[in-house]
Amino acid sequence: MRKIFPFIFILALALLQITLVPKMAIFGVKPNLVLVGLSILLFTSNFLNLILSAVLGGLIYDVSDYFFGLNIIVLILTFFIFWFLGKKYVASHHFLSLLSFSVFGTAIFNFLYTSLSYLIFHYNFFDYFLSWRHLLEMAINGALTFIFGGLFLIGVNIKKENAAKF
Amino acid sequence: MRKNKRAKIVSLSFSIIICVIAVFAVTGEKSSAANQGLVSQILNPVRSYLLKVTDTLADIFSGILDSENLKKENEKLFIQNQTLKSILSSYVEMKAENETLREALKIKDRQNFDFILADVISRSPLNFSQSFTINKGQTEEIKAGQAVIWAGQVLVGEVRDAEPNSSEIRAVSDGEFRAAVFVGEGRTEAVFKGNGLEPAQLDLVPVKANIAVGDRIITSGLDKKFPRGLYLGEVKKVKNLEGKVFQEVEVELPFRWNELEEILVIR
Repeated sequence: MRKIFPFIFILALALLQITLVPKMAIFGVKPNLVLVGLSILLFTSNFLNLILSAVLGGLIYDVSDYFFGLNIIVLILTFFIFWFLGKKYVASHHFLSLLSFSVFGTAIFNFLYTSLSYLIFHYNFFDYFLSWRHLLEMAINGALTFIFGGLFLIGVNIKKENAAKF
Repeated sequence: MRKNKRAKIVSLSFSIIICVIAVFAVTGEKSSAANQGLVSQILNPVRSYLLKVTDTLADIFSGILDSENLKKENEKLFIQNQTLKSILSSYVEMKAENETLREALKIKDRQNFDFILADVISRSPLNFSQSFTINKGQTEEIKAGQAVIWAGQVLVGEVRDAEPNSSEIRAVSDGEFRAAVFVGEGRTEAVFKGNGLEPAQLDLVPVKANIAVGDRIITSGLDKKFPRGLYLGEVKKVKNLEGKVFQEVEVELPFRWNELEEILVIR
């Protein structure tokens, strides 16, 4: 169960993202739930599970997006930056780092997406990247990660404490 | 002494009960006559009250004794209720579909269009593009470039890409969307362009053109892309900046692309 949890979690978030989330946009801005989910899972899952979860999330995004394959590539690249640079140098199991992961992760993800869609598909999304809505997206993603990541980590810690007692 | 008193009370109670039963018996047999008399006027409220109490008690006891049957009946009614609910929801769906098709039929009569009704099955997940996927594709003769409408003659987008069983639709608010339009009653020519998450705009509107807030925007058909007369929205804001050749015009769209559930593709 513990092994497949990341996949189920990311699958649920990705499905929410392509169905319900567009209806609940704030000032037209949608959060990126798969990115939020990956930020939350970063502290608790292993490398292989997370990378496969990123592929799964990217695949579902790609099915609904015009640029097939772009989401998988961008999510994997973002995850690598998270794992090898973020986890090692920026933070190590610090609660507030969840927030920074998500906020900077959004900027990294969107930068990669904007750049690659311009280079490969010749679509220009730099207007969005440089707009205040992008800042709003970062804030929303950060807040969601902070709230749900906090709850998730509290749950995991309670479980660990209970296991230690017995 | 106490025993005598108790015996008296008990016997008095019994006699009262017997009297009451006797009165009930009499009034019951001669109901029509008794109903008109003084006895019935006094006793009828008591009788009805007692009847209610006994009925309630009987219901309670029968309920307790028959709880198993009640449970089964409750389950049966629950299933029936759910079935009826599901039938009702399918009727609601059919009603919505019917209304959409009726609107399409009106346009079909007016203009010689051929439509296909499709359901929206997913929406673009990120903030970059405004597009959605429908459940009809090449097998239904859907091709890239075809116009997509909703609620009568409202243009909501164009087919960006068609797969065998699904198609990608670019909403009019998408940054890449363009259409030739007429603005207002003066039929000023302009180019409508989507602007992503920002309000859509009109391009190439000369400074001299008389455009006011609330003017209707319809497709002109001059781009040979969309049929003439499809509604796109209203003018929301007009900015006439000094030294500029064209006006800056913001457009208010009559729908939100991310709330569409059913659309029509013009083939």
